[in-house]
Amino acid sequence: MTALSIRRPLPLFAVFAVASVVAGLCIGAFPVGPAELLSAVGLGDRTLDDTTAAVLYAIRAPRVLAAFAVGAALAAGGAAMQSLFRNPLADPGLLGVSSGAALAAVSVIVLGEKVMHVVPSDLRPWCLPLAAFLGGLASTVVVYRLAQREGIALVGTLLLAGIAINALTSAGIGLLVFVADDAQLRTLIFWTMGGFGAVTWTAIVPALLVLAISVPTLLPSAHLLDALALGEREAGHVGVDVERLKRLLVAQVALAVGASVAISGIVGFVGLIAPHIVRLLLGPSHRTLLPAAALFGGAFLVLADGLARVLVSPAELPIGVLTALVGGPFFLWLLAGRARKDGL
Amino acid sequence: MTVLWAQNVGVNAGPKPLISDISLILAPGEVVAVIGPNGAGKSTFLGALSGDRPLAAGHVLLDGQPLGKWNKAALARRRAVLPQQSNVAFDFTALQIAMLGLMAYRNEMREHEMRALAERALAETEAIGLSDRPYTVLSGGERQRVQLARVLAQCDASPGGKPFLLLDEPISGLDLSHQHAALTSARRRANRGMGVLAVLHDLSMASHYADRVAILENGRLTALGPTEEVLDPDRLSRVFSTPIVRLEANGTRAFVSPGERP
Repeated sequence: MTALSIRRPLPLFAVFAVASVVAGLCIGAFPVGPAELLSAVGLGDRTLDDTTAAVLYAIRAPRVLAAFAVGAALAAGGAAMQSLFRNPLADPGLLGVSSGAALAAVSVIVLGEKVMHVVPSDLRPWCLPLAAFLGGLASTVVVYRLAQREGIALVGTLLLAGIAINALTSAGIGLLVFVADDAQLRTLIFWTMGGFGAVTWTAIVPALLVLAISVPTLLPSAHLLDALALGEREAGHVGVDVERLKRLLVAQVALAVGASVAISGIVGFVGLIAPHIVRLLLGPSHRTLLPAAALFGGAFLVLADGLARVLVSPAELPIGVLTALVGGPFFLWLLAGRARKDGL
Repeated sequence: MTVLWAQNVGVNAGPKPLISDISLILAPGEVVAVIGPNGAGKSTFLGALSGDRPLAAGHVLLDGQPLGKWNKAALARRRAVLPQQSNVAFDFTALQIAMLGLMAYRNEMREHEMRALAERALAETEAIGLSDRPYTVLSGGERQRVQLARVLAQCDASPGGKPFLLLDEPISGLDLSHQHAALTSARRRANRGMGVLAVLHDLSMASHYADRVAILENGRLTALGPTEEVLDPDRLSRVFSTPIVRLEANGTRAFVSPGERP
């Protein structure tokens, strides 16, 4: 599998991302035309009616932005995790990072009410992303400790550790379902299936800020991630402070995944699909992989969210279900290919 | 002191000592071959010298400083290490792998300079034809040549400095002509002032390319000295528990183990 020689790949991915955002803003139960969209950003001569303006500014814009940010974060986080584990099958969802974050977030929703009154109201929107980050961090550290032997993550152990964590967290979420009241139950189910239906500006700003910091800061490490492919020991020999890099990556991935889960609940497989497709197209070098996977993952999730809105309109499909429908078979296909090649 | 100095080094695996009390000074300009039977601790010793294995006893000093005190990037500019075999994750090309050897020089070298240096090293190990192929599809011997090119490029980038090069069985998977090419590359750099230490199994190759030979047996250094003195057929026969004879032809020496046919 050699990379195609596309001379300027990133602009292509950027164009795709912009196109998906335009599509995401236009499609939905209330269609918005491209001319109205242009006017909305001050480039057209139409005057918007109040409904269109409300739909665009208050509903679609935060929703599309959130979907793009989450997709980009999961894709870049997935790519970073795959580099850390030296394994293309590492995915925040499969390895239990997302569900660890979700369990922590759901705990805050169900149990947090009793303690929330001691938190100043300005800080309350931060509790959810913070809890999700800590949950994601805990899962990442556990999986990493379990699966890592002398710098090599064994795929079998890795996936089994993921299964164990996913089982534990669903048991935890099950317990919370048991004690939750009806209103909490609805939120809870939303978290486990994933979706952008509840997105509002105030709810997502803290998590978006976390993403704005944790994702772009992966880029300066791109060449170090390349060196990690040589093996941890070898990366050390060529001058990488591997221990420091690993700590940094684990924190960045946990932040990115935690903040994503805080926005949209569990959305699986984006972190697996996006880096894989970009690697097939452009090769494994992280200098192009990280930004291209982020653009692709963002665009992918914006389009998936668009589909989730129109497929069963006026109702909405949970987007986590949609990505799992695409990602599940994709993962099986990857697994089958690897099993044939080297028995995992 | 610009030497790589192992002082009474010991490495344990749990309570069991793997190597103990090994002292050796690797000086600029020399090639030292480390030989010994399987399980004697050769790779462990190389691991201790490169800072990969935590020491149970003794010290390893580079330029008078313990390895642990070195900053990783600075260390990469002073010495390169070729492990026995490496798997690479993802489909990086051979050229990309060779260029990763120049990681510590990223801030002062331009992309095309790094590329030129990596290509020169690949040409030297006769792996230039593999440049654009993914490492994962290469054969064992081809991979070894690409990894060797990576460490050679890393040494060559060192500006004026004469770094140390540690090689763990660098020729184990290579055909004869590539074995000579690989050790000639190391020898040539030693002649320019680099210090090279290589774990070798082929006694004839050690005899041909090394200035000094160290013998490890059961985790201990049992001989260290000029190649001709240490590579004595009687001693070798005892160390490897099989008769070994020395042949001389065309002014070079070869060591042959006739064995016994059942």
